[in-house]
Amino acid sequence: MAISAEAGQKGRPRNKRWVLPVLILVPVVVIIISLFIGKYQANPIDIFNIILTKILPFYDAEVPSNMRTAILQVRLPRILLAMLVGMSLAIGGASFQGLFRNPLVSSQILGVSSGASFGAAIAIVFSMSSLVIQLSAFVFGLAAVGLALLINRFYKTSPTLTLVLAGVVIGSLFSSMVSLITYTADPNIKLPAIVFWLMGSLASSANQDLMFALPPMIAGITVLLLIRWRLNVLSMGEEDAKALGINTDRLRIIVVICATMITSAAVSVSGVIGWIGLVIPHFGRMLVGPDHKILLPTCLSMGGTYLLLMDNIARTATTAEIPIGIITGIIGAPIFAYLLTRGSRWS
Amino acid sequence: MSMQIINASFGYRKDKIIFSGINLETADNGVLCILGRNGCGKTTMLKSLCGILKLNGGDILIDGKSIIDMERHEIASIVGYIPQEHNVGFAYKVLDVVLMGRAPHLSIFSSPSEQDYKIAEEAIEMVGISYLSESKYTEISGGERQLVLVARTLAQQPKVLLMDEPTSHLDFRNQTLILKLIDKLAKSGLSVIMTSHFPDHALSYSGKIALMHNGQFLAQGKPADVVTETTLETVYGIGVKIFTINDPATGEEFRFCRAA
Repeated sequence: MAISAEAGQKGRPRNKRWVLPVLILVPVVVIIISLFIGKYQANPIDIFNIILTKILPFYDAEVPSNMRTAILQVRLPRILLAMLVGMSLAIGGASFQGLFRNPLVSSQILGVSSGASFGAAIAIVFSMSSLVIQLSAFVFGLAAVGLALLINRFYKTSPTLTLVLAGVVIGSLFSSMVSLITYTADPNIKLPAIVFWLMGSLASSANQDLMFALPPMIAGITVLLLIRWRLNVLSMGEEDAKALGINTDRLRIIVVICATMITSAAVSVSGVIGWIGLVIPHFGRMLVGPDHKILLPTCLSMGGTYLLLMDNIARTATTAEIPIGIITGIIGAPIFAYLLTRGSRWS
Repeated sequence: MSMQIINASFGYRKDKIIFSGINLETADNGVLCILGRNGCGKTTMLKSLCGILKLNGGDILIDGKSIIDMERHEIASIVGYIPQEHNVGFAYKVLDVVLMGRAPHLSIFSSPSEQDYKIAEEAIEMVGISYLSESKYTEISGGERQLVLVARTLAQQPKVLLMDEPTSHLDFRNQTLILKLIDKLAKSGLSVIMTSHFPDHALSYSGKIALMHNGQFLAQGKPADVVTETTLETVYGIGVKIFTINDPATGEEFRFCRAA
């Protein structure tokens, strides 16, 4: 029993001791580096001073106030939002993959993003404020999944499969309605705004977005983290989970609601950003294995870091900002393809 | 631990009854074998016994308490179920799979503790597959997988063990190993209810046999009384001959059957 003596503490994730420090350290380092990257040319020493002034109570250095504003009011919120959105999409994807026992689904499977897109598009057409656009996206994202669940209720057999099918149906319904709106929208003003929103971007993020998205994201992520070990049992299949004493109906609903809530919140502030929910859980599984107890925290860390890195590229690669949804697609797809080819060696 | 099935019936639809009017009682520790043809309702019966399927009529009592009044985790901490076929989406380690047996004993927000890991490791050791515990569940053989599921159910620490055709996909050696293991578990105080479509297994290992045919119990009791040429011919619809031999070394009597 050499292994157990070495690990020794409660709920040991044996011989994965390096995981936790790395999971915390890497995002922190990337966040700090990201503060130095951007169009606004700021002296690195000034940025250091701003950070240290913010962190250390006794430290107070002279920094130009417009620079302070640029870093703390523009760059920092965007960085935090990128982290949060990446975390949400990744953990949402991992949870749905566990629930549906299929590594190919992502949190968009139940029509969340289609619903949210419709909500945003309709709010843009009616010239609503950005807060209303977000709210509308959030509400319609939830509504889409609610409808999918409602359809699912009418079927008694194989609840998981019908839930996926219901999600596909609702998703395509909302996609068609988005197409209808873009088709009829004013091509000079409204159409570009809708298309830009659909491509996904963190460009306009501000502290206000953070305040809007934070509560549902934190709530959903916390619950998913709390029930993460049970996702293992649920991923063994409906009957197995029942035989192991799991109230599968209740657990499934909890997972769906939490994952939908965080995905809707993410989509509502950032538009549709693909690939994170699919790629990150895969990558995580290659690194730490399929055990959701370690996988979900890993996805949080990796998802946040990945999207932040992508957003750094999005905002600095060219003079005009590239929508991040395009970056994650163009960069994510080849990375994913590469990982798949060496997947067998990793896992 | 006693399990009582009272006038139980089940059908997936109203016009498709799987079994009805079933009565059964297991009072003693030991092995009860439900014997019958493919599709006669054995699996459905076991699934009802652990609450995966809900009866349409009748009742199942666990130590006098109706299964209808019990929470899922309550049932699972008394009754363990080992399914026949199993496919898993993710490549969990064997230890992690066995650890899932602790689920009925943990509250919804908690993860396994050190104690749970110890119980899982003991279960793995008891089944004799310690060498597998770091292997991936998806990469081991069917026989090994069956043993892992037995270990998982032992980690559940149930009082009744339901096994659905425990030998169905196994080779001769693994069949013998698993049947020996069942015997050992029954002797250690567990009640085992298993299904089989193979009369010889029932003849050689079971304490009690229930012969199932067309959703009814044709006969139940001691193997010698229940498994006869006549009953087997009725159930399987073919001619059957039963032979008795004595082991010259021990003088022990064995019965086995052949299709005539």
